[in-house]
Amino acid sequence: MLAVEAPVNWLTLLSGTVVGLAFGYALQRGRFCTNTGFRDILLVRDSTLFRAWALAVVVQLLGVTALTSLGLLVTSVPPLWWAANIVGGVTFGVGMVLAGGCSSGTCYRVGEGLAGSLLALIAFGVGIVAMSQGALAPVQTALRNTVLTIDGQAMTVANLIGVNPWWVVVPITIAAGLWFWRSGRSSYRSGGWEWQAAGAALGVVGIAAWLASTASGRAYGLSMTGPLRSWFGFFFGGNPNIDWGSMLIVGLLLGAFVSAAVNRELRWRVPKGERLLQSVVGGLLMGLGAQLAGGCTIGHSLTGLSVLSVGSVVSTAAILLGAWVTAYWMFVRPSQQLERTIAQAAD
Amino acid sequence: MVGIEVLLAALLLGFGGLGLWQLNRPLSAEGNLIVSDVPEGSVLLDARGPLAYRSGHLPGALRLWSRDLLAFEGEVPGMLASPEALAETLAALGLDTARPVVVYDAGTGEDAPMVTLVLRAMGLDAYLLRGGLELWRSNGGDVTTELPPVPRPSSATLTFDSRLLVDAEGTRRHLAENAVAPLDTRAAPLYLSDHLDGAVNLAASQLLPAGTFPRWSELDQLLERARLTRDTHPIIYGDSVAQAAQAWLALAAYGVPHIHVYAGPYQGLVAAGLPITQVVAQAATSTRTSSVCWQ
Amino acid sequence: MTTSPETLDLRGEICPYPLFESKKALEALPKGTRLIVLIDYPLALDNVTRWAENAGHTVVEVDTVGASEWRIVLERG
Repeated sequence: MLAVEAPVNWLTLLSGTVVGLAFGYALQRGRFCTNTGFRDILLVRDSTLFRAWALAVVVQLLGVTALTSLGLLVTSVPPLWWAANIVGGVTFGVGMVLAGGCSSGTCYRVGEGLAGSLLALIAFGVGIVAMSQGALAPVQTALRNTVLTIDGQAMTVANLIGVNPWWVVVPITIAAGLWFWRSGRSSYRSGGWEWQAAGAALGVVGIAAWLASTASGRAYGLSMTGPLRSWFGFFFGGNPNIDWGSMLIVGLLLGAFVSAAVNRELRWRVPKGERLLQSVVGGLLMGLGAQLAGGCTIGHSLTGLSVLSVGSVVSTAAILLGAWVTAYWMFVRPSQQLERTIAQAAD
Repeated sequence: MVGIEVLLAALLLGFGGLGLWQLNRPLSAEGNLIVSDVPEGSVLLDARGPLAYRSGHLPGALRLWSRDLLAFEGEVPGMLASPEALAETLAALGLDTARPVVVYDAGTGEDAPMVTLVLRAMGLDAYLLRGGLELWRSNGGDVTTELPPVPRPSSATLTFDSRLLVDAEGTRRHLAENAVAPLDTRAAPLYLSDHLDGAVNLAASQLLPAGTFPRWSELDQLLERARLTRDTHPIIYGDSVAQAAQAWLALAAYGVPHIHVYAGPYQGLVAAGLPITQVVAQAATSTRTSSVCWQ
Repeated sequence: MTTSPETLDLRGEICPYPLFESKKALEALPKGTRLIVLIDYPLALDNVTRWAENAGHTVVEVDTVGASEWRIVLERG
């Protein structure tokens, strides 16, 4: 007999895995990491990966807005709980610079064999569980208490200024397009994808994720925090539900592994002890921050922005702030001091 | 490694397209709860009242009025009859788990969803006939006043699924475990005056307007407005079991996997002392989210 | 003045230490001096060489010495 209480079916799990495979492959070939993208603007004035990220956002924004206006997709929008967005975002930004990778960056590097990323990922999960259902849950409850909405709907840039989303999407696309047009080629020596290919591929993966995931009953696109929470909850927190997002993570790890293996970039890389500790602390902060903010640089800064969520804009700004302050304090300031010392020695 | 890239791109487009198709197909494609035809070897059940049945029914259809599944003598009238009484009623009709059962009503969704729900909770392979008698007639189907032969009582042991149909204690337990989202299917004004703590409102009349289904994407929108996804585990209640059953049918057909239905009228929950929110001011739209996945 | 160049082994390091350490080491050297950097992460290879070119240094050569392992020779500009 056909059970009414059917568990998530195999097609759901397969589609999550397939989108995850493509996601992991594109991340690995594109060397895509929002941490590197955000950080290198400040550190070496290099915006190559930042452009890849921006292109992925624009492609997904166009695709999702088109599908929504054609009535083919109904999206859900991350809420604006501003206190949680800001505190969580800054915490995540600090964490990702310490760990040397954002949540997706950390995941695909596990597939490539980075020991530091593996530790960061485990700590990430610990942070998520602590904040969502552990000792820090009251913090989350308190900071998520104030939710700003427009007529009971989650706040988006479009409904905030009261216009059709296209009035926001078109200017953003034109501005970004001009910027992409004017920026030249960047040098790649490792044989990875150029930023244009990486950005476009990730945008397409994002659109496919919205469709496949929503069809499975999970009303969201690409994300890392919720899916990681489902796995860590499954193993350590009594969550029995493995859904589309959970399989996305499995696919991501596999996709990055396959990509690294066929391109002979698979290698067990172990940094020194001090750096491992730094990865653990960074991963923990990322987990706490991402859970609090309700998403990370994927859930907010890629998927949330594709539905113009104000909560995601605030979170992304907070992540940038946290990342830049940390990068300045850890890398820019020490090298400036070094330059001064060298200049003095030369005198 | 162009081969892998082409393969992945093809798979990605394939599954994206599959999702697009799934999201926009009409609900009638959902065949595991609703049928458009009576399959060979199945038992037909007319869920309408005795008068309607006598004035014309599908050939061979047995009669099981939805009200016959309720008990009216208790403190709160309209509670679902006890599992033992239900098993007796169904056994007298000769129903067993071996043959599928197809249930219909006038086409209004007043009776058939509830009978289908109760049969499913009793472990039977029950389906609802799309469109009921009305659609059957307009498609040129036979209608008769001839009574079918009296069925031979079955000796099948039917077990009651207390996860699908829950009593007040079960509701209290589920709420305490914080694993469910209470869903009030009464009309909006009733919900606005008072409802179960934390309940969201989605009137059965919206989910199943006049016995027909909205499109997937429309249902998506309704659920989105009520802050529900196919991931939430709703616990459904209404003015009556029949009303809650309409919402159950729509959500189950939509693919919500873990649904609980309170086996009684809303008044039963009030009488059992479950926490009730009395709303004094005008409608407050709930903006707090429970189990919607953002991340 | 042909002393063999200093070697910086940054294999196993996480992002952005390969870049940061190379920058620190190279900028401490006098103009025209070479530095050998060992790296085992593709993103770091892109990062380091791109930075060096943008900052006015010279990437003298990049050798693939093993599976996902590179030897970069940089010259202070």
